Amino acid sequence: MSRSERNGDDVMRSLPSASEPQIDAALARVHARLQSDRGDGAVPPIESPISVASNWPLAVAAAMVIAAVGTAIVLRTADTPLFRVVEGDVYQGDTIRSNGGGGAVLTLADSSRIEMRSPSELSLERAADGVRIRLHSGGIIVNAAKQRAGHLYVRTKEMTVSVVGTVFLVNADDGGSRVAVIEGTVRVQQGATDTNLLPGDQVATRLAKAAAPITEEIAWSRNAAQHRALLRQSAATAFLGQPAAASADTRLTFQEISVRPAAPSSRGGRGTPFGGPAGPSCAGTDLQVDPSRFAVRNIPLYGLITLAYGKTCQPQVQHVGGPAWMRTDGYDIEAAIPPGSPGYTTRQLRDGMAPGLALMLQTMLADRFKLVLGRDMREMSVYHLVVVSPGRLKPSEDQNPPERAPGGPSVFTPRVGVVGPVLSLSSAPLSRLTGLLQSLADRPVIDRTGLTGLFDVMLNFPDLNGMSGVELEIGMRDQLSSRLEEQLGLTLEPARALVEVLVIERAERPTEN
Amino acid sequence: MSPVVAFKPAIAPLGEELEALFREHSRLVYRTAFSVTGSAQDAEDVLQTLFLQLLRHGLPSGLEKNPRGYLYRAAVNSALNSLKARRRRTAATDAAAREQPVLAPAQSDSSDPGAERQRQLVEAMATLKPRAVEMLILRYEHDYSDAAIARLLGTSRSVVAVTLFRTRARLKKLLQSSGETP
Repeated sequence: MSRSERNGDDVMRSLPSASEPQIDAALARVHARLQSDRGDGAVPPIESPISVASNWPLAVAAAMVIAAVGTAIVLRTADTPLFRVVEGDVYQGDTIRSNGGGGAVLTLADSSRIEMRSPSELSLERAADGVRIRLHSGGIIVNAAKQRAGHLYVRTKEMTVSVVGTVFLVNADDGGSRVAVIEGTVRVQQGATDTNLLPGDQVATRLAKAAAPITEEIAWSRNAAQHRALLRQSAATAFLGQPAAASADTRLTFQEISVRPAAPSSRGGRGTPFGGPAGPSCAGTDLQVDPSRFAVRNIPLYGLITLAYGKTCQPQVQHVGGPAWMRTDGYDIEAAIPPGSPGYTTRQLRDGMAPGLALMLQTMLADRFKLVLGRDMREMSVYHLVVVSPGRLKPSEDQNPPERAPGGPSVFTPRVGVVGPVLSLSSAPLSRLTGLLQSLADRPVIDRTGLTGLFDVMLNFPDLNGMSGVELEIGMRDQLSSRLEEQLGLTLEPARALVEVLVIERAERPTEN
Repeated sequence: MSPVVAFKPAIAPLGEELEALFREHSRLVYRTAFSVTGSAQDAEDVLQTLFLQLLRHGLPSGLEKNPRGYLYRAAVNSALNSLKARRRRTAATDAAAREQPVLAPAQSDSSDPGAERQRQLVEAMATLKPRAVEMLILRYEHDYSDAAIARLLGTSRSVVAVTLFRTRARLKKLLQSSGETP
């Protein structure tokens, strides 16, 4: 993204945004007014048949209570059900349909709770080790009770979800299916692929299904506010389970550190790959790591944060706040690594696989830059990198390449006989490709390929030959997904996910050596 | 045997289709209107007016094909109209005030840079084309990608990218000319 675009984004951060309670209250008021405008307070009861066919002889009426309720908007003040089963039994295999104005809540014998959006259609059946909900259409939020033995399954025509105790949402319609997790873990089986989802994760079988945020998808629920709170809490807990930064007792430090403003001659860096405004590169230059020494030239503070906290160079979404100079002022850093420390390579540090060195960098940032940062989970648009044509992405012949010379791999390399910009990586893990795609796509890219090992990547944009600057940037962003698919058998699926961002609360220019 | 089970509603819904529309899209409409107008009252008015029209006049034919897109565009247009009407009212009030001695100091948020910046942004948006505002709000309030915006509004991703780029540049210029440095 060019500097001018970043400025545009800064401007848009002032966009007025309503709070969730404010929205809930306004919707409730408007809904009530609309109802009163109908002018028919006494509405005759509507008899809505919900059973169309009985496929199983075994009645499970005793195992299920059906209480259909209205939307969250009209039902906030009371738990009194608006609908009840007034006649007859529900059998296994019967189709249960929520229609009319309200949704429906089904409670199973094991206390699992299924909230149905309206209109939705499902049936219940016995599975080999539990109960299976077949969602024919619409949306449900399942609050699955802990299964003592076995599983609760939800099946759409495209995927099967299995759980042992969690809260999740399933949508199914002609356009595809979608699963989103609010709490706990679910396993989604889609064809031969199994995926485990954590809170905030979602998978969809079509691109369009992944477009809306989870918070919007659950807005119809009478418990939408609780689900939202649960989602935040669960996602935060999942994050807190990761290794934390060093505490005062266990902090790892460099032996000697030199931090100097970059020499004027080296300032300005190489600019963006698109020929945009020059400035220190987030990655710095001449990064060197050996068992006794860490050194890098002309690196801005946010580049150091990127190395220390395993982030990618995308400050606009992964770093929030902080002074402007942390992106514009470059520094030359040299530090001695204490003897006996684990030995890492430049590559391992860039790939976020040098935890000891990362902790030393974190300590240095706290001591010399007085860096104070917090972490927050923010739901944002992401891309899932997925395989659509297996086998097109070729594993590298060399799965144990030697450490590269300083300078790292080239990104835009002119190749003989190739027309147009080329993005190339050799013997690189998928994490490097996702990082690169992320910088082009301007949003986090999450690797969902399930591929491991090192790969040779060459992505060519022949149509963009001769373009530069913003024109090239827009062109590449536009073509990224299609080129990935045709040349590497991968694609970027739009999705929403909770992403960890670092909130820069305080940073100071470094103290003298 | 096909058992008969019936649901008995205790509160009258708005009508099945309208109820479903309200449930699924009212949040989008409200949030959109709020972002355009910067006013909770205006946003609520937009939401109510929009659904009241649907309630009284029935669902228009264009809504069936792409209800989310239809309601979103209606929300943006209605919110822009509301914003422009408010500007006209403010201009008329200011003109009237100029003709009479001021009895009390005018209330202003200029002491709060954040509020002032937000006010200027809302003012600037009122001068943009509705299509540009539609894309802007989808991107920055609803966090849609270019592709998702293109799908919802029935255009191409490149049109979205170029429109957003130009609109941001225009906004920046407008804010600079009104004394704001983005």
